[in-house]
Amino acid sequence: MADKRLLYMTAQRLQAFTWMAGNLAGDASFDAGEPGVAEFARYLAGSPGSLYYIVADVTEEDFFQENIPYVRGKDRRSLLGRKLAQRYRDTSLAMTISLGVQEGGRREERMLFSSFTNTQQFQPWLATLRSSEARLVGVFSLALIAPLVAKRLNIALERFVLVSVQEGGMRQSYVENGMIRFSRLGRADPSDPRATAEGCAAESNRILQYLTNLRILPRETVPLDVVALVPEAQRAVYEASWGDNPRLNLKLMDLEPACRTAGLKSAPPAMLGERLFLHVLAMSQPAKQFASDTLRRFYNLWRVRVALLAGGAAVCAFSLLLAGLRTVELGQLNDVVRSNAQKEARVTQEYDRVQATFPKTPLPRESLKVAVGMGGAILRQTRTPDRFLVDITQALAAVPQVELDKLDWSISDNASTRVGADAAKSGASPAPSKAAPPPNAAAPSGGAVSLFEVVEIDAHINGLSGNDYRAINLMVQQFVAALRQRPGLEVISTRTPYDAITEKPIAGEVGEENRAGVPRINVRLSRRIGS
Amino acid sequence: MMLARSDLKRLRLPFAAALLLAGIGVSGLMYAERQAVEAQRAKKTGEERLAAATARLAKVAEEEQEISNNLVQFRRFSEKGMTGGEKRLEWIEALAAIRQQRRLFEVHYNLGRQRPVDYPGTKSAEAIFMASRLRLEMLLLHEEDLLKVLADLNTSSQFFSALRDCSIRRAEGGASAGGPVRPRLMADCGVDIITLKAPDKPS
Repeated sequence: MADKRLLYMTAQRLQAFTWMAGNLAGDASFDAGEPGVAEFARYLAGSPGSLYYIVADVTEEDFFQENIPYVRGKDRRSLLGRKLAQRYRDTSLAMTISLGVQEGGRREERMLFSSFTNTQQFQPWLATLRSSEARLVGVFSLALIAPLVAKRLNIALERFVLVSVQEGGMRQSYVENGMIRFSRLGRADPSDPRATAEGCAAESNRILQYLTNLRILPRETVPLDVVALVPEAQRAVYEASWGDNPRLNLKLMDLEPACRTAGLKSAPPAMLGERLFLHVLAMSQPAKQFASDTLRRFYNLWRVRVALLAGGAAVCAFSLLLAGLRTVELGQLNDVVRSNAQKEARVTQEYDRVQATFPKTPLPRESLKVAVGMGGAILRQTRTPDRFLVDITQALAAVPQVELDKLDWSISDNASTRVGADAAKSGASPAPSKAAPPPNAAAPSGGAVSLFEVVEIDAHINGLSGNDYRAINLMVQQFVAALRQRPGLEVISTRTPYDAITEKPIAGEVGEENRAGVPRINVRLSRRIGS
Repeated sequence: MMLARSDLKRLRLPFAAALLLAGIGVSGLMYAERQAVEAQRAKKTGEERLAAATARLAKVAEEEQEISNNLVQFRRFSEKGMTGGEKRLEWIEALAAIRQQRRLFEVHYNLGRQRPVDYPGTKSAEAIFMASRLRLEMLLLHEEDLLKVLADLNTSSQFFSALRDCSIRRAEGGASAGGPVRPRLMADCGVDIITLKAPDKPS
């Protein structure tokens, strides 16, 4: 944090103090005039990072109250600007304070306008501050600080005049409802307590009269409190000088205890009442001050810089805090992961221990499992045509005219597939039997593959002519019927000479006999393995 | 508070510093978040692995029983001659012995190269059983000769054979009566000689 430099300015000179943790230390004093200003520039160059507060204690400070229409925003700003321009020739060190909204026939806002009327005495100091790029926090007056001092000293009065004696003179500030209303600086000689005390009594009467005449203070009111900050040793002098005034009520506060109450730990011994005001300003600056943004440019830049860095640091800190929380969580997760890994290792160890007692296998266990499954499947579909040959022999015995020429046997997972290379070469596609649909070749539900023994028979019929279709069909039907009597045996298709004449154009001579040769037939059979 | 354009230049450095600070913080947070996500994933994986290991341990008795059952089956395969390497010479000698014993007219064989068994229902990622296709062309007197040959192949303890197809037809001129005994049938059969692939690593 930048250190605070308080610049107490009077008409004669400017004194610089450094404030740190309730301790006020005098740095230097610069007389008005070129040598003092040059020395001040050197002083500023020595501490470029400090924050500077100008506290002006000069007589040329004006206060003026007026009601303005209740407006807000840009209109209010331009109205106040106009009012200040009407009232003051130079508004470079002017400001306004809202004293509250007055509800009546017309809603109005009570405003206090204040300005230093002789800004020339400020210019050398302000120009030096600007050229040195010093961070000027603001230009304050003792009047502006007075309500804060009262608050620090726990003065809970609705209306009072705060009287204090500084190097610049005797300052009287009228405070109402915690806000400054009027202030004036009178002459005072701190080396002559009696004259100062008498001046306090006389000036208090004058200020009462002034406030009453301007109707700032109501005529019919309780006696006005005058709180005077005085050295403890001068209490008796002040009380004696006060006299009897029914409209003023003097309350003396010892300066030293008041400084301690406000938290001021140390200050240069030669300082008067200004030390309390400077300390209070360093502790808590008022919301309003006199300097424009132009004068405060480098202070504002510093504020933005600090805000940027503080923002970045805040984001960084917040993110790192979250990251820290995440890291803690991460540590807990890693503990769980390690614990799980250890448990898994123990379980695996136990499993391996038990597994070591397993019988030895000729293959890796998974391979053995697969081999057993595959071997079982191979064994299930290992068949010989014995049973089929017996069945066909029985059927041929029932129809002796049918004589076998060729038999193709195979194992297939599709009963419709033609059997053998010779059958494929013949190019004749088998016509499905009208009587028996082919067995479902798809795998039955449950995943097991259906397998079939499939037989294709080529045979001829003795004793019949090739164009005696009716007799041939009858013979084939008898043969098929004989086959179907065999358990589990399915006739997939038959093919006779009659099928041939239904598929292509034919020509012949009616009545011609025995020219068509020996009738040949083809029968396809299947049996589900396991039936 | 108004800032002039020239003032913005003076704020470049603090702005960069603020960005840097914020970047450091956010990067740290993102890194921690990523680590936490990875740790969560590791935790989930660890829990799944632990659950699997625990389940496996709980089923160890079942597994032992399954291995015993598989061994019984495997011994059955061994008894049938399905295990052991390819013994082509022994197979050819066995065929010659069958032909001589059954007094067959002619037996021609053609032994193909070994290939993985690809019967329906035997698909596997690893080829465990291998088949060598033996094509047998035989001249036979009667179909019973064929059945006897197939039975001899089946009962041989030296190898395991699986008949896949067989075509039987009349031999030309085989039906003539009288004269010397001549073959009446021709058979062309495909038989797979099945062997177990040598194990990579018994346990």
